[in-house]
Amino acid sequence: MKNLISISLLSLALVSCMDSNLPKYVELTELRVLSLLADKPEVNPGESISITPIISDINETTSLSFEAYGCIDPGVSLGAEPSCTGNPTKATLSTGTITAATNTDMAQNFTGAGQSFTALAPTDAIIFNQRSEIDKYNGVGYLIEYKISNTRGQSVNTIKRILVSNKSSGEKNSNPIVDQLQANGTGLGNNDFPLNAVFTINMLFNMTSFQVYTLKKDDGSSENKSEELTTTWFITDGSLKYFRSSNHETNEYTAPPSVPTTRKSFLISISRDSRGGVAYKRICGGC
Amino acid sequence: MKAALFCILLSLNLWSQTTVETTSTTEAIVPATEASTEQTVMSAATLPFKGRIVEKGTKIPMKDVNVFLLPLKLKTQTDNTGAFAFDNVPSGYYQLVVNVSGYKKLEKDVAVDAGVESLNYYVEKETYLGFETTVIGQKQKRDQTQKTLTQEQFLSMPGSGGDPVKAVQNLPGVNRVQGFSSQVVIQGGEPKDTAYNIDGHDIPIVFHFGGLTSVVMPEALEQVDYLSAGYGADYSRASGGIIGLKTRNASPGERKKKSFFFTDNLKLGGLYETQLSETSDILISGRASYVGLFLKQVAKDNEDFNLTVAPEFYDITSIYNKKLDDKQDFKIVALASRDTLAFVLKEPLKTDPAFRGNFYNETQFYRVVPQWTYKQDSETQYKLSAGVGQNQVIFDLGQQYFNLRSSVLSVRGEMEKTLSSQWVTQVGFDNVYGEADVKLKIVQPRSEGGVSNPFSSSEVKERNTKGRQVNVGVYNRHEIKWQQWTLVPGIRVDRFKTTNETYLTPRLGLKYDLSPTLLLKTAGGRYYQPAEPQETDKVFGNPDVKSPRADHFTFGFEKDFRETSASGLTWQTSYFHKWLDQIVDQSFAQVERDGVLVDQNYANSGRGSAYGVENQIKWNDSIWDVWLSYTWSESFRWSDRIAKYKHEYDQTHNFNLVAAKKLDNNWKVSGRFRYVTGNPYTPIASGVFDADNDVYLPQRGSFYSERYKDFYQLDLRFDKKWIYDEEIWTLYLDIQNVLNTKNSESIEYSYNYANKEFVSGLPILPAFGIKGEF
Repeated sequence: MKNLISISLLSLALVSCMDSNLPKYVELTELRVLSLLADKPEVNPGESISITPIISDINETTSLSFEAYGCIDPGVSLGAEPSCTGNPTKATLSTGTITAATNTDMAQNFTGAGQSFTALAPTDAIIFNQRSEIDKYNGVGYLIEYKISNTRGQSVNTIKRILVSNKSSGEKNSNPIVDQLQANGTGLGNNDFPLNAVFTINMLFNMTSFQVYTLKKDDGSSENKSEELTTTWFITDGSLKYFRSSNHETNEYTAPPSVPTTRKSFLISISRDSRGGVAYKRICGGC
Repeated sequence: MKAALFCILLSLNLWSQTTVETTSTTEAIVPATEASTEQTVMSAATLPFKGRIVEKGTKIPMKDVNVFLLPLKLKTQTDNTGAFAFDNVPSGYYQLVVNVSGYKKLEKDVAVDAGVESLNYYVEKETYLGFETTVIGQKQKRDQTQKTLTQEQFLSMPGSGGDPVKAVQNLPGVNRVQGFSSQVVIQGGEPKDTAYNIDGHDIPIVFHFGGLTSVVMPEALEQVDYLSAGYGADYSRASGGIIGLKTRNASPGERKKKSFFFTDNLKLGGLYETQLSETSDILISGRASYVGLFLKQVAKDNEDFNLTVAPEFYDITSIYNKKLDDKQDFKIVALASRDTLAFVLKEPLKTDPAFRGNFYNETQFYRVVPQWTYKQDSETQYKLSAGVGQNQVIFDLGQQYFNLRSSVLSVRGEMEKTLSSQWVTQVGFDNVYGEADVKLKIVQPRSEGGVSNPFSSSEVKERNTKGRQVNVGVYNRHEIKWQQWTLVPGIRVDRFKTTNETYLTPRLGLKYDLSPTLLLKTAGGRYYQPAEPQETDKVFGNPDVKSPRADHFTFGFEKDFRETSASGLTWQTSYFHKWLDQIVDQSFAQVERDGVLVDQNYANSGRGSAYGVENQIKWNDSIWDVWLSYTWSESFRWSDRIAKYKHEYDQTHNFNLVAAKKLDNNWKVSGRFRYVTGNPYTPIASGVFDADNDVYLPQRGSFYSERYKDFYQLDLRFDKKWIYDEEIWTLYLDIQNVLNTKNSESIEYSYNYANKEFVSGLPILPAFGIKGEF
């Protein structure tokens, strides 16, 4: 185990030192799914969930097609294939086409919130079958598989787990709440896209976002933990110093001189609480 | 005319046949009346003239050497301390002459006078760059699969930086490891299938961080032994083979004490050995790295990467040996090693957001290996040794950690009995006891087909546990000679208490001396390698996992074309075949245990085979040493889930040519050329975005269905020695990858695995070192 970690780390460190010509994670150029935003990241058995994909395809002009499936998590975090294919609990949740008429975000270069769909968590007789009490409390994953493709032949497969647990509603996880996305200490409106300067940017979260929760361990003991929020930044123009930041940590954004004439510009933040909770903020230039 | 005859006699070394073999006595070889007529005589008064003859540079006393005083034509001989004395020499100026085979002739002007003290006279060897090929038929080897590199060989092996374990990579059957690693992979196996030991006792790691150098001072070793398919019953628990580091005895010899100091690109160190008494000697050596100081300077301006503890290592090797009496010898070896590295990554790695924050790694261990040998009589001998020590690993990565502290006791004992002139038997035991305290909170990523899932996407597990390891082995080995045949049957019983397994493993070797210079040989056996601790752990692994099994078979020949000559050609070829079963593979299934579903994690579902032909041809003479290794091989794996595929270490062709030439004035130039078929790798067809963890999961294509480009590299090495009266200085320049070949060592993928780039290995890399021997 230790050797594996050391070798992996060394290899990754060596690779990370290289000056690569490969596409950059933060730059939105092709079809991307930035997140699947569930209104409730943790639910009771049998409860319904509304899921909104956050997508980007600034070069698409016509439409995007999607399919969504649900199944009991086969153990993706342990190495199982990240798919519902062949899973006896597989259910088709939604299929459809996204166009500029779907909503405002999609009309703006297909970047932002896509078409929502609903999933229904399996009943406890199904999802808790043969599960230990620890699993039931910590949660069993219900896997959402979302496939999206554009008219240019590109496609992206995405997965998300909805935790199904027997915790009380007060103990269940909820999405973080973004109070502001700040540039140089000032909150940005949805269309206040920064231009032609270097900006210090950061997230300002509502303090209720940092939930304290209990994790039951394999030995039967419990551990109280506090959530840490990690924000991933995406841009269509300019450059970022870092592509992730923690909690209220600052980042540096070198904004472009102007918004391109052929499309909009975007600065997007996706904040995660490591338990499936997600918050999303989009700043649009030229909107 | 007389002087010319004298010189001829000297050079033919016939002189000693005409003189009386007495030390410290002076004999006239011509009538005294003739000698007295020489012009160098200052007066008729006679004086004693004394001195010591020692080897230049090493200060080794030269015993039984003839010393001449010209033109008196007096001769005497040195004693065991190299001392000589001429009695009754008329005061005056003379020439001291020493002429010994293998040494440059010493002709020294000396004055014999009342005030002249006894001096040392230094005789220079013709070369200090001796090398010898010893693998075939010269080294004492119990096991026919054994190949041995002597200290002299591995210290000057080009491309290996003087490292004994890296030098093993030039042997046939040893796979080249892809990437930035120095692990030894034997005959299509895996790195974990190779066990490393020092004097027969396992050590947890053999390389310092990053495979820079092995953990033992090379000059404290006598040899490194490489055991491959078909190895004997005295070892076990490794399905691939064994790398055995054999320490030498501390032996300052007649000099009573000697030492050296060295420094190279990475490290510095030294060795000191001295005689403690007539029957005991001690050796103390150590090395420490300083490359971290440079790295820290390089990294100090990078605000995203704060190198809080530069990569550092040290190791200490000490040896004490004592001859207890005519029958008993005692030796104790102490080895300690420590590696540390710490840094802060402000920006996570782009491929995996889990790699962020504080990183700290500390690995250290020590072993004390007492050894006792008792030769009861000419027919019976006992050996008993132990390896006592501790291992500690601290690995912190942000919120995750892996801390291990373990205590280990290994015990080996053997009785060897000569039952008749044709029959020798050994009975022995080989036990390992260990206790480990492990605290870990870490992910267990899927790692299959050589592709690992990102740590970010994997479940973090936590475990605080104490474990006990008891592996007991007993063996009985026989060596029975009958005419040209030698039969070596062996049987071994291994008990692995953790997994509650007991195995009977037969071994068999057979040799046939077709002629005095041609040996046919075959060997085979069954081997079990205990499952690794994380594989049997109830949280990280599967308590039901059993030990992987391997069956080995090999046959071949050794031909020595040198006949009785010291130089010439040797050739050995062998075929090997290994069948692998019960290989522990990762499992992603869930199984019912105690009424609830749990992750299986691991299962004995893997199987495999590897076979090939190894060839080694060597030429050596007084000038050249040439070594050619070529292995053709194939290696496969398959399992219940995955159809048969070429294994990661399937290397069809592995060619190594090493050549060294001695030049005048103690120069030596050597080179190594390697050609290896590119390793197979698993292509990644696409990536699935894990929206919870903000990372893409690789979707593997057919396992190991594509290959890296073939690897080839040329290394050169230059050695130069300067010989002074009482010290030797050595300077070497070792240039790796002289042709600056861009060999692909790994692959970097874009964040979604849609694009990739091959990462080249090290460019042309000169390394230098200097060593002073005193």
